[in-house]
Amino acid sequence: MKRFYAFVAGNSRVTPLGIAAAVLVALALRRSPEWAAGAYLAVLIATLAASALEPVR
Amino acid sequence: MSPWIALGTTFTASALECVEAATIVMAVGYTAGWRVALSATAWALAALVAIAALLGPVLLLYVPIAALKIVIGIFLLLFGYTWLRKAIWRFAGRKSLRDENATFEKEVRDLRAHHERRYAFATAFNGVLVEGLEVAVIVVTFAAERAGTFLWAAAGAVAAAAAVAGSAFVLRHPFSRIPENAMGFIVGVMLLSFGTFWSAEGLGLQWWSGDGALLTLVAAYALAGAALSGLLRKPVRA
Repeated sequence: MKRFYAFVAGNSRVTPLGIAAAVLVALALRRSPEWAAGAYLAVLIATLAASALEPVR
Repeated sequence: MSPWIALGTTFTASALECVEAATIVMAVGYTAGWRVALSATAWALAALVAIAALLGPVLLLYVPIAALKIVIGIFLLLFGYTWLRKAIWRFAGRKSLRDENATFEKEVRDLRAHHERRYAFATAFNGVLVEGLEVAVIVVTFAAERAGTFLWAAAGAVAAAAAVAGSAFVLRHPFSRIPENAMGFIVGVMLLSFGTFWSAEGLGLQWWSGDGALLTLVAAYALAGAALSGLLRKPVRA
């Protein structure tokens, strides 16, 4: 299980949470198509920033 | 999506993984003999082809397209984050650059400590299988998004493997001058862009300019990656 997690997520704790948050945001904003895609992208870019700030492995 | 983009992305990803696998195979070849190194490589490649050939059609036939786009998009996002943040850390000086010569020497030391043929076979087999598995998954995800893309994505991966194998045969030395980090940065940006695009489509979101939004995503992730590399850079002591 640990090796599978390392394979798919590179042992990051932030990225699966960030993706889950982005999916929730996308689902919540699905009725506002002009905002939903932008908000989805913004959460994913914030996830990249947060994962880059994790301790180096 | 242009099939050339799929080809370029899988070519770059495959080239990087093949460089790492070639280092391990060369270490096994020089210490335990080329017969064991090449037979282990052949078995691992056969396993990878079988995985890609089985997984692709199964996904296409049995999983609804919207669900498939979400699943493959999330896989690409996870892989993309791993590639891009590693590249960011290396550009920022927080993680050491990969040194193929050092990896080669470490593998040779380990192999000399174990004299068994089985150990040498397992080292080469695992090296090729583990490095190739991610490429196989990436090829399958491109194929799953659009059936006609499979051959292009697979061609990119195979062409890179052939180029690296040919170069390894000619040079007979680990690759130490390849800009691995810049290539890793590009692969990370491409995987994140495709992952974002497809997962959003699967979730029912609409991009503001159709397929053209991919270019915006590539630019956004590249800029974010470059900015983070700069922000995280360790100050140089005078």
